[in-house]
Amino acid sequence: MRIKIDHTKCTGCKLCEVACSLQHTEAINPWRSRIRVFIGEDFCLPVIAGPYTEAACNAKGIVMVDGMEMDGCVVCRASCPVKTAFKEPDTGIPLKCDFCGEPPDPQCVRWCEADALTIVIED
Amino acid sequence: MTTFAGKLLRINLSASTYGEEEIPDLYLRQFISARGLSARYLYAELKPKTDPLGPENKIIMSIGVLASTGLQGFSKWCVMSKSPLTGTIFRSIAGGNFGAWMKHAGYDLIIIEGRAPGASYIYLDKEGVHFLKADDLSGMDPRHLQRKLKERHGFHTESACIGMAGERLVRYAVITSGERTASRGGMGTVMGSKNLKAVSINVPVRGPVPFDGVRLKGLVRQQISILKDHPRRKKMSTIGTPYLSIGLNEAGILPVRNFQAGSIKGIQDISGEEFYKLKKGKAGCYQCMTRCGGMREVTRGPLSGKQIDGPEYETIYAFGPLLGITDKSFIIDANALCDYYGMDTISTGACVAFACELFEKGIISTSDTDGLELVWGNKNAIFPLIEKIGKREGLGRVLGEGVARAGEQIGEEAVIYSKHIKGLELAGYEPRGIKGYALSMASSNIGGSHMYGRPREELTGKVDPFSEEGKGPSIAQAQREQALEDSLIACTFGNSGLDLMMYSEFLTSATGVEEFGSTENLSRIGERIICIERCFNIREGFGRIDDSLPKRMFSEPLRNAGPSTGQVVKNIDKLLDEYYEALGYTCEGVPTAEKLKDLGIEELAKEITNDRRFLAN
Repeated sequence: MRIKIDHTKCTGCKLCEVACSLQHTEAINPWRSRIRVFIGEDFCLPVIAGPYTEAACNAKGIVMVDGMEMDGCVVCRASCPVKTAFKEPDTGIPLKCDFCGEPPDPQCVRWCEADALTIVIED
Repeated sequence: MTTFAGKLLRINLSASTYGEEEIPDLYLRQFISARGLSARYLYAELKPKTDPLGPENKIIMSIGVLASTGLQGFSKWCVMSKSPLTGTIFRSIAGGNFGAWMKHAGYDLIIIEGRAPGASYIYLDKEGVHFLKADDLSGMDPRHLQRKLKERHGFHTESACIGMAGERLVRYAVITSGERTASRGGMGTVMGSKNLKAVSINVPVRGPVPFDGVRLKGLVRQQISILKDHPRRKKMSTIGTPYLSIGLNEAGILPVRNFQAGSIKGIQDISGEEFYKLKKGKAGCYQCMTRCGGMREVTRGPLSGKQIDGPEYETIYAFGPLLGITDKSFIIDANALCDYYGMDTISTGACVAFACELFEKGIISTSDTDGLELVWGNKNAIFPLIEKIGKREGLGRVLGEGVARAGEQIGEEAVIYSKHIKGLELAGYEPRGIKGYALSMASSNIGGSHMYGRPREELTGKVDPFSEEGKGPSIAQAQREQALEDSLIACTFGNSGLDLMMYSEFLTSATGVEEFGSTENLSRIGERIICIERCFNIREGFGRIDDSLPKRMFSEPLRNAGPSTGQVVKNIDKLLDEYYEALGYTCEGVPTAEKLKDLGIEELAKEITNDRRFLAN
């Protein structure tokens, strides 16, 4: 099971950040959310927190998404020493998506109005 | 724990100093936040007859108590100051992210006073306030300026800034934040007069900690599920405010050619659906799922090829029917041009319409307009005129003063064509065809604004819009509710389907203040806010005589306006009497001593009670 992101459908409302924060933290704070939406001049890009890495990578640079040049750091899912996203702001503890709910029912997917986030079940 | 920051930041530009102050608990209980709290501070701190463009005037930027709590559509921010356009107290509300950033910085209010010696901007971060020179930023348009400030101070920086019009003191300059503006009343002009190009904030996101977090989280869930399926919000989220143009045209209350008519042929070309076809993406405010803004491509002018957020209905009105135009791409281009210079689209459109009518009546000619043929609908003359206003050149110099002053400067024969209330150009609702709006705009403490109390029941057809009976109490209530909403700040578009009851639950769980649990008390808070705003205006010398409409509304029956054809405002005095009575004002429109006491502001407004001049009659 995975969450599929269709960034072309994302409207940038960031309701997923609120939904995630509702689920995981006592007060709502998007910086403590396990999903973040990065808004550029003509794109909205939801990124879901992935595994923690102890070291910063050396493959930083520009990546291409649908023909758009983007900062590799922005689209990366990892929580790493050089990035501020996907860490608890006060403690620096890394954050990672846990497919919340039992059985899994990720809140970000449930609240997404634009269908930019969908659940894909793979064998 | 509470979502009130309880602190304000006071910045003095003349001395380059700043300091924090506690906000007394009583103020928060009496005025909540944003518009209410700002009005309280401005009333207490501004001396009567202060020059709006002098260093003594103050700008108060404020953010609502429910901002950044996860509640949707509560993160707009408010600017309050004495307006250079009206000379009254003025509030203007803007969207974008800037307000939430103020909240994260830990302030309910930022009060800016004095005047910087040279072009400057303020940068606020964890270390405090930095006073920085802005010589290299002068003349820059808000879009580039914001990008530049992000490059300079980090991607996470949010700014509220002005464009060239603000620097050159066009009296209706805006403050821009992101794609959104605090449009009306020349709040950007006040900033320009202080040589302040921008206020930038870069602080970590810290959601305020509510009194009862568990309950508030439940309410957030509840709010989102209500909003998700609400038809009006869905319409806002897709078509946005442009949907209004068709309905208002049918009702005959869409002002055409400087209020000569109430409907226009070819409205289908500028309908909500037509604008929807041009929509390339969405734009909106912090923590709002509605994202009512639509990004559309500009084809002409300095932003040609770029996308802008807009136009909203009011812009469509001001650059469309008001000028006899039904060309959607022209409206987008004119919107972009105003964004570029940083001017209010409603006032700009109204000034151009005023010039066109003078041209039609032969009061001005091509020798006054630098050769521009200002005939209704002549897009090729109107576009350069907007540019002239932005740069304050030629005819733009006088039009940049707003229609009221421009009328006086041009001469007596021009005055009757200037459509304004207390100096503020009228918004896109024809007062003759909807009497509730006539009263709401006439009595408004900020002039001809469409957002000072919307006659919802008349707009939805539940009450006869032509009747002049019994409108006083309902408009008084609409204004109270609007004042309250502006003090939370609850966005009118993003909160469809919510009522006072719901707001009161939000407030109690966020702040823990039990008094907010009563909707009656919330209404009273709204009343207190409009009352203190009125006291401010009375101190400035405003009175019943200023609560009026442009003369045309009384004497000239509305033409070519479908069902509203032939309507005039027959008896404004009766409407006003009812309204004053509903709010406990004297027949001169002054709050009575008993009323001030009842609202608990007799001490604050003692100048009003002590001065017998105000209490005559």
